[in-house]
Amino acid sequence: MSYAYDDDNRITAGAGYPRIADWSRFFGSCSALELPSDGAATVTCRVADLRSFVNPYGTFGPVTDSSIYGACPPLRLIVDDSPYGLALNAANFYEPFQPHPTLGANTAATTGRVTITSIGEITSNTVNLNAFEVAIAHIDAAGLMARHAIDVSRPLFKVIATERAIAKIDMENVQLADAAMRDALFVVQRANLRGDPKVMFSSDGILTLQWQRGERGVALIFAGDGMVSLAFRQPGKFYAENGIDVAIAEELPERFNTTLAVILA
Amino acid sequence: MTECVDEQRTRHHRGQWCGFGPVRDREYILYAVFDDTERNGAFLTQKSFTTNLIQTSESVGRVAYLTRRIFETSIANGSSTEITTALVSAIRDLRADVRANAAIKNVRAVCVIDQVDPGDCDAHATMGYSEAIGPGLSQANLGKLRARIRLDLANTFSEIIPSDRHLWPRGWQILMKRAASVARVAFNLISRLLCSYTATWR
Repeated sequence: MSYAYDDDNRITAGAGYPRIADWSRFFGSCSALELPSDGAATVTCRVADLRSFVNPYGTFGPVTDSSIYGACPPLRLIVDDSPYGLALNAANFYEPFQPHPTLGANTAATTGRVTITSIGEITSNTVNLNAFEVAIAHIDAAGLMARHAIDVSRPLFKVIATERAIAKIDMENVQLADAAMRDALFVVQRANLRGDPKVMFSSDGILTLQWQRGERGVALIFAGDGMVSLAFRQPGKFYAENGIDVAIAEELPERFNTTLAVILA
Repeated sequence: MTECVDEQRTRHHRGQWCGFGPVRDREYILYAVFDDTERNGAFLTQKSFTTNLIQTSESVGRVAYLTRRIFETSIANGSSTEITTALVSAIRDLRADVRANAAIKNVRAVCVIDQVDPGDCDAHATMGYSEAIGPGLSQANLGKLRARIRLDLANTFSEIIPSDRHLWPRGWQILMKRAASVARVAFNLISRLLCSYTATWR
């Protein structure tokens, strides 16, 4: 099965996966997009490319070499063998971007939607990540994966990812914070949220997005449980007594949209 | 559930004759904003507060009883610090809906108590989540509710200003208030004794 791509890695020919272009946009300047016959998609990115849309990794050095690893075709991994100076705290990696602990091994960590393969080494507190690859698995004809695609080029995504990377999260709550971020990215993308909310992770891993102007405000609060808590502030009513919980798979209520429109107007 | 019962009495480690008594609604409290305190421009945010809120041990100062010298030596510890203030009644007015077992209860969200431990200045007080925030909630729901309360709490505080722009009370004013506090305790004690004596006599 072959596909043609334009200069932006968008598929221009090939039936069956019409919405894969969403994923192509997701990975921006990644070098290749392959679609094996089993329907899984593989995207190979240089670390430097990933850096452009996943801010948490901000300290990678320049990519100076690349090679193809034959052990697990068709995965192509590009090695960042620059002098590291990398002392990335493992707590600042969020799923599914979990580095593999063994140097030189190809291993996948699967979230069910996105498969990550990484090569690196880990010490007691730090991770040297040499390379990793992002693979998108099991795209079905209904475009299920495309619906879940995350366009990390959005400014709000970068803000959330950056905030997650620098947030001081209690170690026991790191997984909760990662889950909260995933839920938030999903909701932000699907609801096409706008504006410039205040993005806050608390030490217990709770993520809050807050839009407020004057006496009116609205907040989305995520605890990684698949639910988003909406809180409204208006004259005489507090956030803590004026909220509702909605599953992230559901549409945000109209009240949220109208309130946000008023705040952003 | 009774909320914020500790607000009704002094929590000074040396007893009711010391300090300035329970924090009153009409007082202002002061929150010190250090270099590493999270903020949103000139205002506090949800992240400005620490996990001390859980134990009702988030330190604040009682504006009416805090001289600049005491603030700089016992709170700012010599570092350049900014401040923000809030009316105690505004904090005590904060409410929260607690959903547990399909029922919704509207309860006090934050308590402000006169908590003075050894090493604290007499103008020290603390704030924290009400006892009604927590029972019956899952960890996720508790975290989300606390996050919403912190959003409200941040909104009760004024614009952050440099400490030298604040109008600090003078030392002699503090002395007079201290005397008034002693007189208030004495008056209450005498009142209770008289009531007790009258009841016995009848």
